[in-house]
Amino acid sequence: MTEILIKNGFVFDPVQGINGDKKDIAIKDGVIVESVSSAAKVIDASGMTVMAGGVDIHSHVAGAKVNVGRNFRPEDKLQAVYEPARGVRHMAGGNSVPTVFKTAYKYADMGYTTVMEAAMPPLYARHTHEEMRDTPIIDQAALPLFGNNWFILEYLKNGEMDNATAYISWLLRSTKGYGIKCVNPGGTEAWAWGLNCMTINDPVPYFEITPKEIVAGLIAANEALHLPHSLHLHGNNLGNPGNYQTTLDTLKIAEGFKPNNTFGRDQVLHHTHIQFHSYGGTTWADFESKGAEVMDYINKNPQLTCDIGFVTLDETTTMTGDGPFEYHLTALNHLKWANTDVEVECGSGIVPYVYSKDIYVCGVQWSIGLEMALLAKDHMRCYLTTDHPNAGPFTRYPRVMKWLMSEKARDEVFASMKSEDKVRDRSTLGGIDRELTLYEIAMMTRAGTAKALGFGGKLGGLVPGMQADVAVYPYNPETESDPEQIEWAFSNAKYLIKSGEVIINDSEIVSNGNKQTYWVDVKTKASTQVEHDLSEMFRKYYTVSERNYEVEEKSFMKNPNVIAIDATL
Amino acid sequence: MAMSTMYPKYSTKMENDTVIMEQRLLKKVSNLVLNTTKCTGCGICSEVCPKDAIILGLVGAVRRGAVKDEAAISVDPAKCSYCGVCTILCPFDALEVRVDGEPSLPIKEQEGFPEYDFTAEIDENKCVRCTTCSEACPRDAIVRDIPVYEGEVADGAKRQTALDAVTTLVVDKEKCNVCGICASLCPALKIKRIPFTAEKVGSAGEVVWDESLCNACQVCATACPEHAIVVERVVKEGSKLAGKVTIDKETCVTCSWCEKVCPEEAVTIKKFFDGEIVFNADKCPGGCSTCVDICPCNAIYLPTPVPALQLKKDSIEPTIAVNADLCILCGACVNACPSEDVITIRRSGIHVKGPETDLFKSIAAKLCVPRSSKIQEDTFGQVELKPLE
Repeated sequence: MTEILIKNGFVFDPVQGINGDKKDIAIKDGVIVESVSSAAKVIDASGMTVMAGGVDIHSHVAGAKVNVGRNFRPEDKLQAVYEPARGVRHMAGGNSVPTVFKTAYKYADMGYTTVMEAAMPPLYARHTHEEMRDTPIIDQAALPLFGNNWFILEYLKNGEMDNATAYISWLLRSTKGYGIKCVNPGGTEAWAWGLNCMTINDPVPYFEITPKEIVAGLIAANEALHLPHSLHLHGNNLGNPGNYQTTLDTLKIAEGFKPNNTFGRDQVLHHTHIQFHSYGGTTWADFESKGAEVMDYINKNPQLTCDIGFVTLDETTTMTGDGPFEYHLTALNHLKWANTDVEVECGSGIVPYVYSKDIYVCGVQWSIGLEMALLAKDHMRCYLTTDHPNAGPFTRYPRVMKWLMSEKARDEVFASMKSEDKVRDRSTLGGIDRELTLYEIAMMTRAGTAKALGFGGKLGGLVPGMQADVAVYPYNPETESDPEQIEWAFSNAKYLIKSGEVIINDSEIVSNGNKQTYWVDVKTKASTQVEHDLSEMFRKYYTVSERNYEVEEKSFMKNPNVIAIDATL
Repeated sequence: MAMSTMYPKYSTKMENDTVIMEQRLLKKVSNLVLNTTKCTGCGICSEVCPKDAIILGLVGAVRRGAVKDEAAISVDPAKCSYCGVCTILCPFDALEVRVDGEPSLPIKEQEGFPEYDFTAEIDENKCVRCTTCSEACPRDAIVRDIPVYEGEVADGAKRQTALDAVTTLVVDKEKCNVCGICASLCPALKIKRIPFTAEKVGSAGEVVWDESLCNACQVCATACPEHAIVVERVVKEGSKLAGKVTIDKETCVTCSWCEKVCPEEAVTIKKFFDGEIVFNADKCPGGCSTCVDICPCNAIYLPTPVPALQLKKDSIEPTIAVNADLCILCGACVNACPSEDVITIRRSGIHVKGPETDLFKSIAAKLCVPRSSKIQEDTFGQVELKPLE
């Protein structure tokens, strides 16, 4: 197989503690190696930045609600005109909800090689896998939703942990899922009745279980199953002034739990798009940031990781498994609303949203995300996301990097706002002069996310033996001073290598790669109760049959990569 | 042809709302006539028939109108002895024996069989002639012999006639300037005006009032620009609507809806059966509601779902329920139920008056066998119940 040598680049690899040293990276047979022969293809990375392939921990890129977003927003394509097919590239388009091809090309351009689909309705897992199969280049996995699932609510209410874990194992296998995602625990089930759970103590109708019990139960189940990733949580009360209290209450549930896995993961709870959960005030009139309070708690609690969900100040499309929140949103902005309740399992909603610089609330939301990231003490536990496309399209990651790395760039945004003073007044961002380094950005975008997802040792770094995912950016950290160059360079990788294959050569996509889809096959003790309940539920409540539920690898997946775990040991 | 093959001659024919069973001898013609609009499929006739001549068919389908040209029961005109026991014990007055065209119940006339003894009375002194019982009665057994007032139909009796009252209207002639406003407003008032004449220009005359048209509304008094009119009405103590509300005992089935809803506690009902009915909702398949549709007493209901906000694990409403206070233990629900063991009825006593003959006693014993429905019947096309001990 091919050998590649990336010479003379400035290497940023927090896994090895390499901080901008000039170093060669050798690749052989798809993995990083110590050295290669003289026959190796040489890539000259002089004056450029070299990092491991990016790993996105949370992005809505495949499946039912993403496609509803594409379908019901034809106008989204006007913001980014379809590009015709060219070379290996298929036709691609869409802005906030791009097509599968555009998703792959844009991630590749940004040097990303692995993306986690954040919310997969189990019943619609086939849809998710079909879209992931058709998304070239990037390796993917999907997190099935558990926080409003009737089996889970029932087992956790009754304290039947063995049944909960046996069911989770069955569902991960059936849906070819990667881990446990929980969105608005209990609240989305309540939404099936037009209600919601606004705090962690509001019981779910009929099931009489609280969000607090659901979250604690899912963390316990996750660790009992030794899963590579932790519970991936979107808490209750998203997007409301004063919700930081709910968020702190939620994060405290993780106290006392210990990670239990062989994948190098140290957290027991990953709280996603924490920016949306760090709001103070009581109404939008006295709305203010409580990002400092929330980040302070996360800084002090090593059992937690978070991603931010940076607001990018764009017109975008919101889409989430949090059905009641989306209804709340359409009542606020009167834009079109789609909703899907999924039998027995979960729900979702979709509403377009314009984060305008002229609206002070949007400005404060923008500040909160940056404030939190700049107050984070450990960027191995605080990650860069936009909850794509909820807070903005993923294609803005380089712009977020610019804001994080340049106070000047942040001040320019402040100055362009209609209510600059008010926005500055409602968060501490204006008083923060910290500028993140490329080393910290590498933590936020590859080393940290790979570790939290349980890919540590394989992805997120440039250690010999790791998968050879390498991005080379046309950015000279020694000489560059213009923050705009950060945004441009990280949007236009000069070279991208994935699993040892050249995907981008001299800024041109030259291969659709050999994408993989990860899933977790975890063995548990057989539970006759769960077997009975499954057959009963499918017979009585599902519109599909049990035998027609499973996602078969052969039909729906390209290059499945099974992570096998024996949780009976 | 020999006479023996011609007589007796048996036939059954359906005419509009009746099914007529016939036994024709050379001179005598006996009929058992079933009124299909009254028949509820309760099956008491089938249980009590001394000749086992009556079977129950598609009770639910017939009562719901899904099957036309068929009755809930069918009688074999050859087995039938035209004795009239079924006629006497039918709670719904749906059967009649006729001999040579005339109603005939010799068994009763000759004191060979008792009849139901039940109470269905309205205390006229307590009754205020309201509309509640007549609207609640599932059998239309309330006879509300009350004038129809204008509130119900536009040309009904005037509302002032509902009151036993004395109304007075006094016009202060000193103040009255014969302007005519009062008469233009109300049909009870007329102006008897002295004709205008150029000889003596002015407005003079008198106001004439008709008490029968006045409802003491006070509009004339208020509208009068001279405050010349005073209207007073004195209602007699205990004034009630005219007429009387009674219960038609032929139609009444003693469900006691009227007794339960009467705001004045004026009704007394004593049922003709004692006993109990029990619903086991766990065995009801749901989505059927045949029992609800066919219950002649409207005693069965689909419980209202609990609102989501109050929904708890143990608060899920049962699939089906009965208000036993309204049930008359007729048994139609058991006959119609397509499931097994959902409904159980146990009659423990029958209230009758008249001679309790051996025939009656043996029939009463049959009526008092507890029963439920069953799914798999032995004979296709007829209801068979599951006797319980």
